[in-house]
Amino acid sequence: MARPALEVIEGGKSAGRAWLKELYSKYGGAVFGRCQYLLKNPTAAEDAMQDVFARAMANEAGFRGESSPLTWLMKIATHHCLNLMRGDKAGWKAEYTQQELVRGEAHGGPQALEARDVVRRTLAKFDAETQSAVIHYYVDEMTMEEVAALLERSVPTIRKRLRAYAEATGHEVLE
Amino acid sequence: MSHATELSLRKLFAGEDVGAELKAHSDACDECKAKLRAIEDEQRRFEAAIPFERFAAGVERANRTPRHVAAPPPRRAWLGYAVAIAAGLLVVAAAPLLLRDGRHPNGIKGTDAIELHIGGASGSTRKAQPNVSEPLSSGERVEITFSAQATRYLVAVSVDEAGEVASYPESGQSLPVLGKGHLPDSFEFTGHGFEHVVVVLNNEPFSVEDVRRALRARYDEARGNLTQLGRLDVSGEQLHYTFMKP
Repeated sequence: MARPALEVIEGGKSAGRAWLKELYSKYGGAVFGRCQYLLKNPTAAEDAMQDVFARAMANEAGFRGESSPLTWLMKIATHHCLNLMRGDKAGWKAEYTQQELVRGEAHGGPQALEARDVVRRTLAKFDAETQSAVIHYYVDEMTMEEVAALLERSVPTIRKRLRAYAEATGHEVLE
Repeated sequence: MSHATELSLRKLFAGEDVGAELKAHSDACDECKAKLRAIEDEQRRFEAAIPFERFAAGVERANRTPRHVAAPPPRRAWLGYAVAIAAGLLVVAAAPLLLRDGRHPNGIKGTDAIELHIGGASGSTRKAQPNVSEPLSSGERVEITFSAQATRYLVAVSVDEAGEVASYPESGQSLPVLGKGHLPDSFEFTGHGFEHVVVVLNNEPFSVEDVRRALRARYDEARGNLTQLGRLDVSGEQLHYTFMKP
């Protein structure tokens, strides 16, 4: 069994503060980056990031036992932001439509967009599980097995979701 | 060795264990080192934009008053109907027939019984047979009845031809059942084609997600052929039914 990456610090307010500082220094940039990548709004991203770390605090005992706090945080951040985006579906859809128009007009078409941006903008058409799988596979560069373990699904299920996404968007799935 | 993944490099930055081989590669590889520098820059930009005091205050505030964000709806769920409606349509008589080996014909031990009854708008009902493809007419619903002499725990799961899994309960723990009765809802399966239903019964509570996962695994193994689904890899007794949706 993998060793927890975060040391257990005895309780108390200052200890909690020290722990939060450790999270801030190690994972703040990554979590904020994921929130900003998905939400495209610095204020909304900061709020979402605070929600994610608040969940880590609320679930402190379990979180400290994680062999990879980063993986846990990225999963929660991705899931949380996708839910927020779903709640703001009208805005997301408008952005997607706009992007489709831009693609048709711009020189170079889809290639002119950064690959990660293309991934993000094509997510709106897919279900929640496929969205999470796509982010972890294409953006975090996790293997299919890692995505399956993270999302608690079988590898064939994840493969099927990624293939459906790839077929619809022209992405490649490495088996 | 292939390059470190984005996630591995982020783990490396955070001081998490990535394995000696990958660490050695990342120390020597220019491309990985450049990516690692980009991650360091990202953290620096983050700290410049959001100082720790602001971060901590925001997290503590969010911890005190968590935001409620609606979870996505399940991809597919059984359509449930209230007991009052179902009871009017279905007359439940789960009379166990014991075989010599003490098993009910449906495979449940002792005098405990699980039965699936099909009812429709016409008012007529029939009992579904396990392991036989049972055609359903439009609007027909399925009710699960039980007869348990001691408290048992039950989960019903189903999968359609597209591999979408639904369950009752939808999540959490199995449903305790005792005496004679039926599940609070009757169900209409959405979509077309086959629907394979498995009812799992156990003496101890168990996780709904474990059963859903086991069904998904069987579906994947059978490559979506619902007539070839084997026994689920979960403890307890289980009954398999296949329905042909209208």
